[in-house]
Amino acid sequence: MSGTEVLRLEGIVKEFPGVKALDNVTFDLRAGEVHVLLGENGAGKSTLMKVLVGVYHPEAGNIVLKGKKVRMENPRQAQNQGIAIIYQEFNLVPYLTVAQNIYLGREPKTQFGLVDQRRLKSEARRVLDFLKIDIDENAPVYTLGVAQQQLVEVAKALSLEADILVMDEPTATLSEHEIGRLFATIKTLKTHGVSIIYISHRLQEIKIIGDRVTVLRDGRTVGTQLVAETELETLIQMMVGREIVKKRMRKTNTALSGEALKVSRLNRGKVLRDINLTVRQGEIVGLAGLVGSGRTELARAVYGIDRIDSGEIEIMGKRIRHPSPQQCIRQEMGFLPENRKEDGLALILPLKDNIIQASLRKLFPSGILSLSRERDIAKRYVRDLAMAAPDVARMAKFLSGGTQQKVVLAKWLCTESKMLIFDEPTRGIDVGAKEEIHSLMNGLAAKGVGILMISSELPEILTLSDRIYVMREGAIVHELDASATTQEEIIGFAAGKRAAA
Amino acid sequence: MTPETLTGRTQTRISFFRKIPGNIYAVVLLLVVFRFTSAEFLNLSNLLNIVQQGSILAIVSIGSFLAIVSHGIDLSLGAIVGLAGIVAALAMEAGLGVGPACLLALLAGALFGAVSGFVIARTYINPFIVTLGMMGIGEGLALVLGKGATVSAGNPVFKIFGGGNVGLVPVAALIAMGCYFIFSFILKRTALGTHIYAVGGNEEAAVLSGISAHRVKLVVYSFNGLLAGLAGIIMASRLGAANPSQGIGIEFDGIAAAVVGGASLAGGKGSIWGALGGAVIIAILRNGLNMAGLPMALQMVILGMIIVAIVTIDSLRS
Repeated sequence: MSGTEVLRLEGIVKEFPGVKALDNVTFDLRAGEVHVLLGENGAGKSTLMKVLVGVYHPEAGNIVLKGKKVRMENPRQAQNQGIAIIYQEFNLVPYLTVAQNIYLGREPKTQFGLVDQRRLKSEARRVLDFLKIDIDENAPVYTLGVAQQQLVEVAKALSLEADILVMDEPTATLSEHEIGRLFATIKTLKTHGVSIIYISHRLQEIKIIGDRVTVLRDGRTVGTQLVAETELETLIQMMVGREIVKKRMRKTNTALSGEALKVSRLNRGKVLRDINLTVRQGEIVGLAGLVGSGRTELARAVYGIDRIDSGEIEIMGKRIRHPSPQQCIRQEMGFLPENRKEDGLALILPLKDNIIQASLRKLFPSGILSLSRERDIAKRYVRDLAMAAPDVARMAKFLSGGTQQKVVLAKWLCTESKMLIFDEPTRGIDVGAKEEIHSLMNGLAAKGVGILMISSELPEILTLSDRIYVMREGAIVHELDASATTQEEIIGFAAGKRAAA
Repeated sequence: MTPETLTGRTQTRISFFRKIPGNIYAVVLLLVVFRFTSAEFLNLSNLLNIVQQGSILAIVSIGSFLAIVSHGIDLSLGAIVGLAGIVAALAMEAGLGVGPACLLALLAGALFGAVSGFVIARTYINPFIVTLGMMGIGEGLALVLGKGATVSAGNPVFKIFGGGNVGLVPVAALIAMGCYFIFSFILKRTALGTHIYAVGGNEEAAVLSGISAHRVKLVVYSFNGLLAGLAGIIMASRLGAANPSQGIGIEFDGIAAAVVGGASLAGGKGSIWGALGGAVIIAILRNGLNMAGLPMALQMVILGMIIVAIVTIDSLRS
């Protein structure tokens, strides 16, 4: 692909309070190419695209579109300039038809100002046919699968006459067959000169669909390569970097006793397939994998939030017949969800109420609360976990991210759980609080608590875990000893470079 | 015959039965049941009575339906029914003709709805709360205007809306059907209709597509006010007098009708003809239970249970 340059991002800098999300990033796009933007979670891929379409405004740097320097004020302006973005969460209206969605807000009108149904349908059909998409333009969108909805988004973007299309992790939720169809559509687009920025961290796809690839790491451009001339190993190296892995924080607890959690042959639709795992008391087990590999889904299924199709779950040696959060709490297992604000905390309740929330039955078997005891307990945790909170009556929403996470942790410490599942325990938390959370987790393991930790940060997985399970496409594909593996090896398994073992 | 064609046939048969809205079954079942509980139920005069009573609810139900489809709710409709009736009656008392008096009442209703719509669109306060407040304001205003009493509206021309017939068909029913055709057209054939569904189904997607959600909400609640105003005129006409509290509670029947008819409270889904079906069911229920001679309190209990049952069965079917 040696098309002319249609877009150039030069020296883009974007800062958020306390973080330099993009640091002098350079990226260019040629007509009719698929340019893959590769990088780990948090490398700055999405931020860069939000700068491109005017959601964020950069502190420095230029956007050069078709040879002209432009300033993107908002997504609408970007759309008018021919740049369309397909987010991971679709923007479709479920009970309208495919045709209505494609031309939403731009309905063709008859001379009387009514919607011209015939033209609406025929134009939608034309766009779909052009893309060789076999979807009925009269079908309501809610009847379509995820893959088809995505194709409708593509058709919508194309009907806007976009010649630059950004696709953010388009295959994250698609099956093999559906991916094939999406790729066929992408190829059609290419032959018509549409340029595509393809965000992904699935290495195998890059070889199939990509022309060039640019790797981002920690907000910087690592380099741009021709896909055909680049080995996957090189890309992994570029993604991970050669930074020295921090020394492992923990010595493996040699006095491991019984199994805190045992999951056997767990299945849930296509999301979780034949999962077997164990976490022993006093052990920290890392769960690695790409976004969408099924890690959070696994945690939710084990904790009884989502229904399972089959499989056995044992907590502290006791079989849980019908997993539910109540059952798990009764068996002394706790869950710290990924979205603290949405799932982990009652934001408008005081800190103390959050801390005792899961232990009410244990603390006050009579059902009548003692407010002074409640306060004393909360104060103890505020002190023990060194929470930055003025008093225990403080509303949770006014606390910092790190302190909020400590409140969630305190909630489960308060229940005296023997088994804890952490989903992204330090996401969005500043460095200092991160270290504190890590040492608290270490301390818990030393006291014999079993911990299953989901994390997208490989250094966190490597420094904290005893053992590591790697998930891909809903299955555990490998089990690794944390002291004898590397980031490259984990990414290799997670992205499917090596055959499943 | 191969197994394949066999299964193909069964499937089409099932989908054929599924295509019939659940409330058609409900109507038939109710008619049969009430035939046995009351000998006069299926008499022509009683059926016409149902149609006449049902017409007012049917018109209000369009308003409830529009609010629900746009992912809102309108609790002020009953208050507007009362207010519009009083406005029409007072206007005629003051010497205005039937036409201008009715126009004034419709305008009052539409304006009242527009205020709700404006607040809902601009402030993001939940429509439930906004229209709850407007319900109080409307009921109070009707009482103040009518000085707390019924205002007579005995004009023979005015009586036609609620009491007249064309052949056998009540005028009220013709007006209601007219409303249904007009609003079905608006929802299906105009961009505005698509935009109402779009805002209710996924407001963010609608806004990103360049639709003004503000404008859509303003229009929806203004329409609601207009429709409730029309219902108020018919009700006052039927009774020959405007009672300030004549509409109280009808907003809940309207919501029930829309939901029984398949509208989703999550917004963006439902058919206006379903709402009509819902209104018919509720009108039949009210009349049939009454004709069966059940005490009022028991009627309310049974009505509530049947509404919940119909919606439950419908949600299980899909």
